[in-house]
Amino acid sequence: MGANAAANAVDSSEAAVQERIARLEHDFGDLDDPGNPLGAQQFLAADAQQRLLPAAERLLDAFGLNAEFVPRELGGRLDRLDALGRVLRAVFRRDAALGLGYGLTSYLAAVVVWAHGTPGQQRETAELLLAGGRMACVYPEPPQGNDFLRNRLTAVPDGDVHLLSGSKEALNNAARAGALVVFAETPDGLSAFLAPGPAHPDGRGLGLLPRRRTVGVRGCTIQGLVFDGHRLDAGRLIGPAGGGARLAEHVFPLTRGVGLSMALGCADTALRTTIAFARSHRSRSPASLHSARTRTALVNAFADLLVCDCLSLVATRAAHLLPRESRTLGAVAKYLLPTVLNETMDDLSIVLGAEAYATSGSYGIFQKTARDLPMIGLGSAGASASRAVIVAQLLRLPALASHDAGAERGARGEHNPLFRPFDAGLPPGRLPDDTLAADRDSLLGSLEESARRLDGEAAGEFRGPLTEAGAVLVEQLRALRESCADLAARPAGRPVSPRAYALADRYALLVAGAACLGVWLHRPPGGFLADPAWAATVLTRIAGRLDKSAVRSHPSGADRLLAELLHRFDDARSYDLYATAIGR
Amino acid sequence: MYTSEMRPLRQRGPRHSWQPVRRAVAARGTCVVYADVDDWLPPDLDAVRLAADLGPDHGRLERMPVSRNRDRFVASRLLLKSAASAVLGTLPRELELAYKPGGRPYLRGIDQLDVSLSHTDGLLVVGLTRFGRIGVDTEQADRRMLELGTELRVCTPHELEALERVPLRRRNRELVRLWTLKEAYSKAIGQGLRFRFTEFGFGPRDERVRMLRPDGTPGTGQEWSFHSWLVEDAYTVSAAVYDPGFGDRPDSGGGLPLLPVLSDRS
Repeated sequence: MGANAAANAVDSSEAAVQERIARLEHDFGDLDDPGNPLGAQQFLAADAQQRLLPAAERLLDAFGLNAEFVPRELGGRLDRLDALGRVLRAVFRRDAALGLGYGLTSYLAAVVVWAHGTPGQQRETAELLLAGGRMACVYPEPPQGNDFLRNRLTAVPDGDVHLLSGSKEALNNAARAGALVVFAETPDGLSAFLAPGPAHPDGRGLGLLPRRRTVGVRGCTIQGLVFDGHRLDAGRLIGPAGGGARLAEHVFPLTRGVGLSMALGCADTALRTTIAFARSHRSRSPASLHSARTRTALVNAFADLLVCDCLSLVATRAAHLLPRESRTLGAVAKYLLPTVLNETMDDLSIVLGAEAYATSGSYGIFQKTARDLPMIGLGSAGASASRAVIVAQLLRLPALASHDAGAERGARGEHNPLFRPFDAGLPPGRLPDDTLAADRDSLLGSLEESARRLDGEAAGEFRGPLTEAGAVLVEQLRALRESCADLAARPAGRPVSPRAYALADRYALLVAGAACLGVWLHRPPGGFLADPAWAATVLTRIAGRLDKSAVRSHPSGADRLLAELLHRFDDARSYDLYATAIGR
Repeated sequence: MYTSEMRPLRQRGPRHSWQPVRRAVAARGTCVVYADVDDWLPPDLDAVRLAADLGPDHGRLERMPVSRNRDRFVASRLLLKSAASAVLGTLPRELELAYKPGGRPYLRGIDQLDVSLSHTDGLLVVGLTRFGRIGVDTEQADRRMLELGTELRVCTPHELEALERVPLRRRNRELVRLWTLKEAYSKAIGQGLRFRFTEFGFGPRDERVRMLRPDGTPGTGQEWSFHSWLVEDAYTVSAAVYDPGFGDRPDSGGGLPLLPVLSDRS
């Protein structure tokens, strides 16, 4: 294929992604239209009835949403993780329960098979999904478990089969799953199996526990599964016996970033709902756009969504471009996004006031989203595994080269596809190689050079704020490197100081800052992303999270972001890097 | 006087045992601690150790003029960091007390324990929870609020009606209770912006306290719980606690400490 043909293939791949998103948005239609059978009132009613909206499931059947989770070479449409996140945002914008129950839950199971399954297992899984089947996965339990993450299953060899015993207390999609991916303890250690689920003829004997009620994503059917010497035939093992822990680590970068990227669809709806509320109020009302606190809350929420999207972009594209660093970047996304998004919801709820609790009416979707979003992060136990990955990187940091030629090249403006939102020119997703630990930290390595480049850029009135925020990030990076050197220099055998918790948080914020800087420096020539107002606002916000006393606000940046917010509201476009046209 | 199964615990100074607080957090997930400012005021504000224990807050301390306000600042941060480190099984200097963009204090990087802080006069109050979120607030129980127009700025129509039915001798304290509940809830969710107090209200104190919308219909669901107490016969202390209901059971791994020893491999 010549260079032109390759470029055309890349363009048509991105065009196809945009076409699919446009089709989904068009078919779902206007969320705020009370007459829409797929409108907010219908999703609220389905939530109250604790079921997924049947009309929405039919729409996704017709769209063939499952094909988004199946690699292209197996007959599906999956070739880019960032695109998967974007397509699913259209679903999460309507209903997180639908996004999880019809989407993410199946993907989290299937990806284990894509990573390490045999060709036969991969074909079987692709066939199930392409026929509209669901999957569920019993992942290994992290050190700090909760009911949703608990896993005490054992599989005992018996001849050439395994007998699976134990129970899993809470599992989404348990009853509807045509196939299960199960991690269980075997004499060789943790192992993964692909087993027929309760919805498969061979899985009918599985015991289902009563449904678990949850505060959020009430439409998801979450219930326990009991295995009592359940027979797993030879050939059901995924990867080698005892290889389960490694396998779970391998899929980590393929699940963390993309799952949170999808959840940005929920926050998008919450922000749009709050803007609708503010616009409907008279100018004297404290809730109206004339009130400074309302404007501030809206602009901060938009800035935080842009930070989250820059980080999602880098975390998902790293699985293609930086396989040795993708675990760390996935962990940063998983660590930071739930916290930032939950804070955003709190800030927005203050604008909505009493309407933040309304379970019906024009703004009822807000309280539903506020209940749903925390379920996607699964609480602090969900973050503990990610933190462990970040701490490992903190300890490695002093030994890694502080400068990275590739990152510097990227920072100088040469093509670095990591930071390009609409770019389809990615190699296939790659699994991390165990034999190759990260030999560099591309994001932190790019930060100093990127900040220097800010100084040389003409960004008009925003040059000052941009360079100030860049200087805070560079100073914070210097302090972080010093602290990591202390951390790594502790006497052998001594546990890592709990100071590492705060350092992990600073590390995550610096990576987020580097991601935003990268997107800004690799910006397209026109459009909103070419406006320095967003970069200045977003970097100042990150700098403020690192050191509240080091930054001041810049009203003109806020004014420009507010204008963009209102423009996207009127034009029905998404609040992320893509300004996607949404159903209307 | 106010009914609630949880009781705030008094902490008598740095040498006093943290065992009751640790036990309460292990058993209930949440604990509210109160203390006298003077019990937590270090004799020497220039001590090197104090700088280490306060961390980044020490810079703020150095810029503050000598005042009762400065005393409260130092004592409250020491109480908070001591309480958190006791529960987490570490030392105050190992934790960084940081502030969200809007000013809400938190322990940087530690999402397994949320904290909140309040003080009035010589009383310090710290809230700790290993669930989702906590906010605490305290006021003098007899702080004059009635007949100053406060109730109109603070209460929902539903609360105003309920307040009218409270006997006059108890009415001011009831208003203080509502005020502190609203502050506590605002601190639990607020990143700096404050919720408009007339947009949410609370039910009567003789049943499980619920948050209500202005018309008296339910606001938050069962994921939130609200508590008020009278301590030292002089202060009203209120707490708002959010539990997203994941059924976290950190004690399943062998009890506290909550802060697992970090491994150098992952």
